[in-house]
Amino acid sequence: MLLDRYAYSNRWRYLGPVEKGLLTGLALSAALAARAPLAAVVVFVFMAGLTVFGARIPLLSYLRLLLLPAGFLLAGVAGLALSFTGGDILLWTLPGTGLSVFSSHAGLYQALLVLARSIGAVAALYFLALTTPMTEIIGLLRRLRVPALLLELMVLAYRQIFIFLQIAREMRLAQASRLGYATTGNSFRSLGVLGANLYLRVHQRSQMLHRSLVSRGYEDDLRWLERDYPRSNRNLLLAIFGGGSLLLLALLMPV
Amino acid sequence: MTSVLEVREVGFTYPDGTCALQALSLGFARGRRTALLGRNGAGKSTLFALLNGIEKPKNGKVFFAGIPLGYDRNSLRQLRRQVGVVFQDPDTQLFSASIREDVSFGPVNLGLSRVEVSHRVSTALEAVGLTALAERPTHALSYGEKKRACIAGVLAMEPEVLILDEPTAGLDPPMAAELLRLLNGLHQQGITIILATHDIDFAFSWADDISVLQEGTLAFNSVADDIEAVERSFPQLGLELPWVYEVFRQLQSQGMISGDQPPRSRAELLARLQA
Repeated sequence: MLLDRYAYSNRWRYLGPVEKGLLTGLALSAALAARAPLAAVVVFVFMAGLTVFGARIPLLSYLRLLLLPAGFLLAGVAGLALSFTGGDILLWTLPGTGLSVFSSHAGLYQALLVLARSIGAVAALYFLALTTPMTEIIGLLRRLRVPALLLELMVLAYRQIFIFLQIAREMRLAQASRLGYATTGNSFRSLGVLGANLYLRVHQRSQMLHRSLVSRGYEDDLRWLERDYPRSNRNLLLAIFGGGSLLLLALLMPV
Repeated sequence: MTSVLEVREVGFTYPDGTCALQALSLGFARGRRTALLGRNGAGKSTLFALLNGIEKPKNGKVFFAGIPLGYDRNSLRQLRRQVGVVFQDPDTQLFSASIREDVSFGPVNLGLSRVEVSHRVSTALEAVGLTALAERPTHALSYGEKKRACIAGVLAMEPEVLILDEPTAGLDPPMAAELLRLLNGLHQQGITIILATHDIDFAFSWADDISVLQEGTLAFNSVADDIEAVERSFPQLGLELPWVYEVFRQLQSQGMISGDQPPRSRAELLARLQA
């Protein structure tokens, strides 16, 4: 989990989550509210720059992480830009049939705007995800009065992801060592068995977890001690100023 | 001798029909170290679940400090404050991605003040030697470190009785030795310790009392240095004798060691031989 490792080891790890969260929130609003594609691109450049040069996340890793949402983005944007039913630009006709692919200026602009807003929003969220460990993001959400049930789900899901991955890895290794993946047929069978057993194992573990929580006095809600951060007024002001400027730019930049 | 925890005639059957315990009576004396031996499925984990009020016996009763357990919320809270369980697999015990948060879970549930919780968390982390790793994410810890984090999570509740289910399983020898030192330190603070293990030599080198469970019943129960009782019962139970006892007998028959009290560990045996 690349994302997680950086969250714990970046240069801005010990800055207050409130400041980072505030900046993220403002930048995210700016990206989503941007009326001109350029404004959203500015948000992207600004937030990506902070993440790479401020928090010192290696550029290569950052680019690789950006590839993750790229597939979804391109698929979504293609739907906006292309059309089979008509538009002012004819791109291509399948020979022998009447099937044509069109695009339109309005559609292209729409696609560009969505693309720009999306990468701006991704950069804003990546900034928070790469500089702030999950437990602190959850602490921040708690302070924002997000319902406790939702937060507990996040805590448990987050921890279980790692356990889930570990069990899956161990089971796969055990299968592979007995030629479970030697042929295509074997692979399919092994993968099926792995999936079924993974479910059982995870279920069993969740029951054990419940037991151990109960033995430590768990009643209805998961509570723990939150970490104290020295409040930095300077950082808070910087976050408001930076994020606020982005938001103003997004709202005021002419289309 | 007063038992801090005791089960009387308890029986327990799992919903699938597996009979885990039958008419088991066993007391744990205050301030003592008890090792609970028994094969897998002998009922050790079930007994621990009963002692912590996680499961309720189908027959018989569980007593804490002479008073039968109540199963209402308040009584259970009271019990769990005083009896802590460290389960076998640390990954099923640590719920949070941060060690410090996980350790604070118990004390927060006790309704303690923020200052008190944070004091207890620091003390518990210090006791298990994890202070330096407190900010690390849980999944970045080694197995032994996770195990210690679990112990810290229970210690932070300051229990009178500490129950550990096979704490040395999966630990390498130096880590196991480290754990032993930790447990002895806790024992010196007056904490009653009950520990399940498969390691007979470890059990005898550490415990004051030895109990053996077999198929849900008590097969043996004695102080650890009653060498005659051990020699009488263990072969019948299909258990090996601790090697120090065997060597001690051999040396005794050849007149190479004096005294009737068996040594309990390698170090003690060597010291006796040099004396």
